[in-house]
Amino acid sequence: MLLIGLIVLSVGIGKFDIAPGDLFTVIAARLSGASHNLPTVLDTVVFQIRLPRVAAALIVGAALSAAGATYQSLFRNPLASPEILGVSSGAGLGAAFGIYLSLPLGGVQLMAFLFGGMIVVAVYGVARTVRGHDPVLVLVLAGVVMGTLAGSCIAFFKYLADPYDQLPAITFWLLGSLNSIGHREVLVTCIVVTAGIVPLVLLRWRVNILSLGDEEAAALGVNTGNLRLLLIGSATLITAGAVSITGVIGWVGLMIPHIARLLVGPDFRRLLPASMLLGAAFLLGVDDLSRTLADTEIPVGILTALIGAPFFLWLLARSKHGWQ
Amino acid sequence: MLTVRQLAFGYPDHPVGRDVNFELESGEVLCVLGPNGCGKTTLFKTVLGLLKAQAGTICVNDEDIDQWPRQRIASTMAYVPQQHDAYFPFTVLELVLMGRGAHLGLFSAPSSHDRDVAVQALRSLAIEHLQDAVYTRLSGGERQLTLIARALAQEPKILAMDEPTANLDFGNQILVLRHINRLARAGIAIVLSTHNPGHTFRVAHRVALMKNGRFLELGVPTQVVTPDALHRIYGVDVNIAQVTNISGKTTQVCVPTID
Repeated sequence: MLLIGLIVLSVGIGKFDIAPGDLFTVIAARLSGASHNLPTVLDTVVFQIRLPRVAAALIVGAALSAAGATYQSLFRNPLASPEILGVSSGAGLGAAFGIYLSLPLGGVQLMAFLFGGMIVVAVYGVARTVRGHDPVLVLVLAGVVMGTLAGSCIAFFKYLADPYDQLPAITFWLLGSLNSIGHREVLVTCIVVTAGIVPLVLLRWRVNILSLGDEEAAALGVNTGNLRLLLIGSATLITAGAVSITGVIGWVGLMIPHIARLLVGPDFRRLLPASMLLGAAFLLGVDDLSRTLADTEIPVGILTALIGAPFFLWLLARSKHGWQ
Repeated sequence: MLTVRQLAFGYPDHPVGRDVNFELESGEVLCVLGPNGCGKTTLFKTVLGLLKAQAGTICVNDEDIDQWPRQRIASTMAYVPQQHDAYFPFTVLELVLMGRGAHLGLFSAPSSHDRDVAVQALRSLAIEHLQDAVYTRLSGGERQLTLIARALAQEPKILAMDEPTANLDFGNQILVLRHINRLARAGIAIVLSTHNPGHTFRVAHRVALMKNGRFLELGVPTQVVTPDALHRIYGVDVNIAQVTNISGKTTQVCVPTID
């Protein structure tokens, strides 16, 4: 209910305020095929700008939170986020490379998606070759290393990039924004994210067992290697699908699953839907702020960090027994 | 039921033990006694298929389990690990239900039947009242019983318990030993490790003395657990005395020399 109210509000507010009544008229007219006597610019704003953007905020917020919840259960680490295996760094590198090559927007997004996926494949490959250590720990360390490496490569492309045109584009992309999202992006992302979420929903109970740790899960009859690969693949698909159209939006996937866990407990069957709902509402709300707080739009990634960091510290101070 | 032959075990490039042989019948309790680091936990993990055996065979009902899928092993053998700090605040019932994973399809969640099995496991250990409690907030004894309940929810024929009485207070140690006796009478084959030689007289049908990854001796407690044997594995002088408990039964106790 709250989410629906927020959606209506979000479509309405912005540079060009639309009253809820007018909004309703415009949408009803479009659905019924009838005409209305409001200015046609309203149609453009609602259908070409606001609705795709609201849809993107919902999808990306839900996607990042679902991926974050998965990684946290998988790695049993409160700092696990969708970025942990380097997806975001890889996507950032892909985008920076794409912008440097002056690819069109779609090309940049594709590059971001491919590099995001590739870096996780690389991380997984590196981790597979290291034997004799806890596989989860090796994965996380390999993720950190590859993420840092990708960060250096991004810096290299920034250095090479044209400072008047490409450099600002790269910087802006890395800050994350829900700007410049059209119908096509929303549709593609929705498909990619859904494809990643379906396995998570199917495996929702097994994730609980895996969250006990590798050895215990294996003793309980879980084929841990295969299950982990499947979960990492799904979460990576979801994250790459989201960040390739919005750029790097941090903190959502880290913070939202924690809140969801406080509300519904650690059972992944409840944690997944709760995280997705909260994440969708949160990113939509923050995006509304980013559009309305100042005269120029504030990149949404900056706002999520401004809200996320203090929240996380509060959570840390509040919890006495790790996760409770 | 469980037959272990010429087992060598350990980690790649780091062998821990070898030449381990034993058999375990249903309803029988085998107690592995040995100093810290002698390889008890590694042995258990290998028998449970969590680590690959470096040599030798592990058979259940004359069938080599080497090629068994994880799920088949888990529905035959259950593991009660040493108590640990859980990461997520699952409730006791949620945790015990995870024991049902061995019997469920990949995409399934527990049904009401699984729930009944889990509650029954809790009831058999008299901790039904804890089912909605959060595992991470339980006391050591309650955690140990919860982990045993989870293993029982797997409906195993063989139960491996790694130091089930470690870190428990006196009362809880006795409680756990009682449950071990009861589970054995119910027909489960149990192998457990312990650091208390006195416990072997109370629960074990047979005792294995383990040192440096090998079984030094294997036999009935009264013959194996002797002052001489304890001196050999622990380097401590021990007197073993006969005492009579309240109900008039005689049993042995270990009295170490401290001064």
